[in-house]
Parts: sequence; structure tokens; C-alpha cells
Amino acid sequence: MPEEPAPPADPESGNLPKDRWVPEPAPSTWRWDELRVVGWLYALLLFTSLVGGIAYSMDRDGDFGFWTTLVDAVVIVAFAIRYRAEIVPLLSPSTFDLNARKKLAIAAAVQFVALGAVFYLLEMAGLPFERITDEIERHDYSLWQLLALYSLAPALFEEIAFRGVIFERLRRVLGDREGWLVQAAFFSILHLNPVIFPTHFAMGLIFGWLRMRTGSLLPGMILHAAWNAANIVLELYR
Amino acid sequence: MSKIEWRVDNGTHIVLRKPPLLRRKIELNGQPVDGEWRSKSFAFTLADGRPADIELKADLLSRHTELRVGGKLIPDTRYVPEDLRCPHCNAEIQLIDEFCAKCGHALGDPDRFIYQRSVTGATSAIRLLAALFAIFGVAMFFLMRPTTQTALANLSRYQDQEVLEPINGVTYTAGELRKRVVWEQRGVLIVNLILSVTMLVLAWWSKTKPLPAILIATAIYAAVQVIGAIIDPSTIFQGIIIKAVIIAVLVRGIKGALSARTENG
Repeated sequence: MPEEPAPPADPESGNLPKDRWVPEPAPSTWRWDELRVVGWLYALLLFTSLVGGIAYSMDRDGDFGFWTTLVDAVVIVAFAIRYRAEIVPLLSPSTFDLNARKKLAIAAAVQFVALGAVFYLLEMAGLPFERITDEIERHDYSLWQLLALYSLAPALFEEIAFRGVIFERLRRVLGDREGWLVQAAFFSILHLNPVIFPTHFAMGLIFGWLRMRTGSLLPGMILHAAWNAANIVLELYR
Repeated sequence: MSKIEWRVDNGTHIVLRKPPLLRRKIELNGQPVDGEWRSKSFAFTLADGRPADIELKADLLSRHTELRVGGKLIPDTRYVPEDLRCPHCNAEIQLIDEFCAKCGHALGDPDRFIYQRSVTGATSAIRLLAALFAIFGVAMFFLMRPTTQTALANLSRYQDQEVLEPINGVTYTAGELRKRVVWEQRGVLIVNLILSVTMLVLAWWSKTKPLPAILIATAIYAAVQVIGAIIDPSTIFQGIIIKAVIIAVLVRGIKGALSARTENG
């Protein structure tokens, strides 16, 4: 069950001076406020994708992948600072304990075997995926730049946004199970490619499961970065 | 003449009438109520001493009139079924009842009927979107057929491994480009069918879990508009009023589902 906000301090008990005491908002009000935060973050990320996407369709040689990632990062960091009290503990190295490592191993096995097989089948069916090698040709990226831009940055910032800020707000309003489903749906939808909605929804569920079972964002970040890096390296070297 | 009715309970029937060009009149159990409108609000007292207040409100979608009795929002007769029964024991109940007099089942506040209407509206919008995605996908599949066949005919003179001139800065072999051309037509159909099926699943899910279902449907609808705008920026302003109405109906559904959920704990 989601935790209810702490009851307000009683002005009569002397916990707070009377002029600083404010009545507790009605449940529907604070729940709506939590959903509004989710809505704002979702809308801002959607807006940067829109601007970056239109700019890219107008000038295919522009370095819009980098700029979109940078703006997304600034937006997500701003939200993370606003909600630092709940995000910082999720990033503590102490959360990456033995339990977190075991859960990461299970999640990695499921993701690489099951989703790897699904992507292999989709490719065999002739589904044309965006090629990362096109980015190398256009911008002369090195492997390290590619890994930083398409593996590390998305893993870091998407995990903070979806499994951090968004999941935390949704679980308070919807509870663990529904919050888990909705954050995974938002994660897949924001990749803006309906063909990969189901596979990215499954990924969102796996990263969300890691977050719930370990109380840490680090295992999800590691798996997310490893998955993206494996895709880049596979395309480059097979 | 416009008329709004509220049946608060068996002994309390309130009617608001607005004759053309005349002032609004309020009747309580068939008798006119004396009083004055103050800033779109009319306060009066029921026969049993409960305070009541009628307020005229407006939002993005509509203008509406709210009645509150003892601070509780009372839905008018358009929202409430005539034969009101306890969902647990089927005994007759009053709109204002918090608990069933027969079995003690908690009924919630009367405004639950307004929230249910918002949720029903959002669910209908989701079903409509499912139908539109399916129709659009099938129509586009057949409309794109001649273009696809022409492109494939042009490519037929190249071997699969032959490298073609770059398109938008990307180099393709003839085989790769053939695959892309075929998938462009199939892709429109597949993408729209995926969206249609997703919306149907969400409409079905919203019967039991309206809040998460409507949240996801709203996120998908907004993302589809962005995808369309990236492919063709001129679509941003096409049908913008309809888009705004759909978003407003979905957001109202979220608010309704949230309020209903808060009431039910």
C-alpha cells in the first residue's frame, strides 16, 4: 500500500508555531498534485522529443540526438533535485548489496534471453530498426561517444525519471502494482515507436521490478546500460 | 426554457428553471424559494434546516450548475438512475444516504455518480480512438499500395547487394531499401492495429481499474500526436479543437477516477 503523507503537526501540541501550521490537503488534492508532477515531466520529455524530432527531420545532418539527450538530462536533473530527498537514497552505493546483485542477475538473464529472442525474431521478420551505424557515418562518433550517448546517458537519466520520480509519485497514488504497470507503459510510450511498445513495456516492467525488489536505482541503471551497449556492439561487430 | 432537477431524497426535490430572457427560479418541492443570487451563487435552507447552495460554474468543456447540501455535492437527475438501489443487497436507497439502511454497505458520497459519468466519458473516448486507429490503419494500407508497388517496380532492376545513392544522408543497399518500402506500407497497418488493440485493452481494463487505464490511454494519445507531428509538422494544428476536446475528456476522466478512488480508499 502506498504510504499516506505524514499527518500535519498539531498546533496545540507545540510541534510547530501556529502561524506555520497548515491543514492537511484532502486526499484527492495531494493525489492530483502527484499526478500533475508526473504529467509535467512526461509532457516536457515529450516536448523535447517533438522539437528534436522535427529538427532532425528538417536537417538529417544535425547533431540533434546529442542535444535532445542533453535537454532531457537537464529536465530530469531538475526534477531529481526537486525530489532529492527520495532520489538520493535510491542512488546510494550501499543499496547495491548482495540481494540487489542477485536480483540483477535474474533480471539480466530474463531480459537478455527472452527479449533478445523477441528482437531476433522481429529482425528475422524483416522489421527495419534504426541503425546506430548511421549515426557514426553522419557525426563521426567514436565507440566511446556512442556508448556515452546511447547507453550510459539513457540508462542514467531514464532510470531516474521513470523508476525514480515517476514511479514514486505513481505508487503513492495507485499503489505498487498499478504504479509499476503505468511507469512501464510511460517508459515504452515515450520511445515513440508503437512497434516496440510491447518489448519496451516488458523492459520497463523488468527495470521497475528491480527498483521495487532492491530499493535501488543502480541495478536498473546497470542492466539498462548493458542492454543498450550490447545492442550497439552487436550492430557494430557482428 | 432550461431546467435542472435534483432529487436529494424522498422529501427533497429541487428544480432550477431558466426561462428565456428572465431570471433563474428555484423551486423546492414545487414551491418557489425566496432569496438572491450573489456572484453566481444562491444560498437557501431546506425544510429540515440543512443548508443548500446552488452555484453556476464553467470549465473548458462546459458550463454546469452545482448543488451542495450540507457541503456535499449533489448530482442532478441526469447523472443518477431513477431507481436507486444498494449495489450490495439491492434494497432501495436515497441519493444522500452514506450507508445502506438494510445491510449497512458503505455507499460513498452522492458525487460518485458525477465521477462515474466522467470515467464513462473517458472510456467511450478510448473506444472511439481504438476504432479510429483501426480504420485509419486499414485505409492507409490500401491507399499506400500503388506508391509501394511503383517504388518496388523501380527497385526491381537492382540486385539485393547493390549500393544505392544516399537518401537523406543514409546509404542503403537495394535489398535493404526494398525491405523498408515493404515495411513502410505494412508498418502503418501494424502500428495502427497495435494502437487499436492497446486502446481496446485499456477500455476493457478501465471497467475495473479506470485510473491507470485512462492515464496510459492519455499518454498514448499525446505520444501519437507527437509522432504524427514529427513525421509531418503541419499535423500539429490539424483538428486541434477535436484533439483538445479528446485530451480534456481524458483528463476529466482521470480526475473522476481519482476522486472515485479517493472515496473508496
